[in-house]
Amino acid sequence: MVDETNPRPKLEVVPSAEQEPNKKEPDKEELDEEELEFRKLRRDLPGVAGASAAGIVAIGTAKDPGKNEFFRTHPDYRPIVGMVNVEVGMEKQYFAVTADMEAALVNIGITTYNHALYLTITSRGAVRVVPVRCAGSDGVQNEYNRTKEIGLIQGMSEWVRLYTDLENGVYKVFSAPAGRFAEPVWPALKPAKIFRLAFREKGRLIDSVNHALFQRWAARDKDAK
Amino acid sequence: MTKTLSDFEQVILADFEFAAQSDKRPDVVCLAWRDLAVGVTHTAWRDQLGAVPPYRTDAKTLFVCFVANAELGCHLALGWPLPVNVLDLSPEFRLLTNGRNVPEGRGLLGALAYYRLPSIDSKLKEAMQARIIKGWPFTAEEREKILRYGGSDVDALAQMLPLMLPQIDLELALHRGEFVAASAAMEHHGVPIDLEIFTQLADQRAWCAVRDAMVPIVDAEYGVYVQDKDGEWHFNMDRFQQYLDRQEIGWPRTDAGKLNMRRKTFENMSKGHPQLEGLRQLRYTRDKMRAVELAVGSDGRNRTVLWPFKSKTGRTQPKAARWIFSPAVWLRSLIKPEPGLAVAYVDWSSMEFMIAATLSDDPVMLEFYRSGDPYLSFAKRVGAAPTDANKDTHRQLRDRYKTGLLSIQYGVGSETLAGRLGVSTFEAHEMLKQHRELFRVYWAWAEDWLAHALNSGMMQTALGWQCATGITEFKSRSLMNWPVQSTGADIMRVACIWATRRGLGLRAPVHDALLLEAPIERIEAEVKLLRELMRRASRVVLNAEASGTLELRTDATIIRYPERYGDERGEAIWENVLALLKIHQDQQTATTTAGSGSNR
Repeated sequence: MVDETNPRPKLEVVPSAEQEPNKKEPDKEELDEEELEFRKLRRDLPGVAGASAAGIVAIGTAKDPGKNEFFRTHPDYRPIVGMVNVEVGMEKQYFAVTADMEAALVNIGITTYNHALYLTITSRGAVRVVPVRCAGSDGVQNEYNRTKEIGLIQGMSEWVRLYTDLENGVYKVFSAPAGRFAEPVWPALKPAKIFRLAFREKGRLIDSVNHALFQRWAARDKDAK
Repeated sequence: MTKTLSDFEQVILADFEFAAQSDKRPDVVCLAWRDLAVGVTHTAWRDQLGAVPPYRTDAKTLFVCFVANAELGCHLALGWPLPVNVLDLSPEFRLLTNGRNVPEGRGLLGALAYYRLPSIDSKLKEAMQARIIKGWPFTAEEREKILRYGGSDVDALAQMLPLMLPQIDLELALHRGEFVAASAAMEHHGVPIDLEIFTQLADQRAWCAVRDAMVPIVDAEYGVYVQDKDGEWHFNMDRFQQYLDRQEIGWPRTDAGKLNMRRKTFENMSKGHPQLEGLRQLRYTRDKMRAVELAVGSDGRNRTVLWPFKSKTGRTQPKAARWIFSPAVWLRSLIKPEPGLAVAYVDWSSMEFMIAATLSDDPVMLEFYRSGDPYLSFAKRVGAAPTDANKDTHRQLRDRYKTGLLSIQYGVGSETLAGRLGVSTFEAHEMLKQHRELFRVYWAWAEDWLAHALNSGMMQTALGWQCATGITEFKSRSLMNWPVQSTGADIMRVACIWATRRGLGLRAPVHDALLLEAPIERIEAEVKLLRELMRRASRVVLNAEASGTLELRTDATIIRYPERYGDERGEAIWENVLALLKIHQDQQTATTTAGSGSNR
């Protein structure tokens, strides 16, 4: 509710000196109070001065939240989605698959795997969806995926960083000291919108046999060799 | 807690129709309004409007409109109080679509098309607007049509509001609305102009004579204009090239290899080579000022729509030809306070440099700012100025380095920088290198900012102004410039709101400065207060924490009646204009006298 005891001052045409000869100068307390009032309007994103997550309209998808970057994981966002991935150079691209396309892909020899999607935000403000392949029907999950998921879940309550332990073939988690970063400001987006931004709008949703990737795998694209 | 519509007892949607009065203030024709809860649109012709609005304007009421500076200008013209809470859907729509293509434009019709809402035909709207602007008298049939038209705009607002609301941060929107109200008050008062000289300049015959006579005087130094057989002067590119060769100035070229004659290029080159300033102003005056189109009312005040939030960075962007603070800086000498009054030009010192320093938290940049003049400090650091140089002894050099430093900040290349500073490409290259070494924290931040902007698809300032990237905004220089300019606009908004709340007589926002008007006996006290407000405004925006101490300094120049405002860049041309006006007048008087003598 509007604070009745402290309504905002009314804007009026500035009166001339003759009309208001004894205008009172504001005191320091009054100005300090106003400064605090305006400070509440700030929409900061921790780590990126002057930036905010409030208006984010593009979300990337990546195998991790960012190389050596501290991140937080959204505590509520964790849909399970059938996916395929494609290696493009050094990058791994993830494609979500609609339920009705899974059978069509199987028919051309492509298997989809269920992935849990985690929404992350780095200390520098990059918002990414990180897919983690779920355990198979035998209950076995790749160690990298299992330990990555541990780190992502830990990121729900504190700022963490993932790094690889090549010797043991696992991810390890490094926690940031408490208070190093402020609490994350999550983009005000509904789960469906997050999915749309991360996949559909980037052409990363295989939802028909006309999808370029399906066409390529089925050798139906004209440039196929 | 986030504000919502339910926080208000009444939500009013309103739209005025108005023509222009002789003082350029709105001449209200009619008003249409609707109480959102009641859902009925009312209309009233001018003569039906009373001394107070037919709706509440208190803190429990939300006033919703599209382009509020017009609606609030009408309030002021009618002597009505301004609403406490203003939700202007025009900047909100601009904000939602900033950085994106909006095929139907950002006006009300464009917004309706964006939300796929029905609207009246654009041709009909144009015709109605043209008829209303033509002004009184109106026939009974026209009155009826105009009232219906005004009502249709309010109906459109009622349809659009629920679709836009979920996308609006109401608290920030009200902050923007309050700034639009402050802008409307500035427009209402206008900037004091020397009406005697302006009237002479506005006379088309006198102006043409001055404009033509000015060419040989100013061009004597350059020799680039030629006169055709009809006596018309033309800028000659070959002669300009010869002048550049004589002066050994390397001029930027287009892809086709021709001299780049864009206004901005000329502006930048003039900063690097101050001897070009006279030619730049002459060229602008000849090309862009076929007539002096300053919007000056019969009361001697320059009033034009300030267009708050028109720029992508959220800065105010009035139409240059109609505004006194246009690129023809000599015109600013027309600013003259009325008897008993004074004006003050109060600007934030090195605003863009300091904003970049605070956003990046670069310790060296911050130290440069704290030590005084960052531009001269850099010139000293690169060996271009002696250690004892100051703003008075090395003004031109300081101005050049200001241009250079800000250009480097936004990622300029060595060739362009060389042109702007009037140095060799090698020297410019070295300077770029030194800048990157010296301000390496800034450069790391700039790269982070670019990555964040492109990764997230969005840039946003601390006070919520935003711009999408990747569609129309993808050039790195533009992306690096955006946060600095937009943060500057944030600071300007806060300062204007506070100054207006305190009853200070703001007259215009000028990029990084404010023009203030007050009685002579109060001007110093009001300047002191304004400077304090400007300092605090910078503190709110520049510091994420309340305990932060980063802030901008300000400078103030006070002009008391009978003095006039002056910008040293335009002084020479102003003197010429005055002299030529005098000659023209004397000739006119002589002709008239001779004519009347022969008649006798």
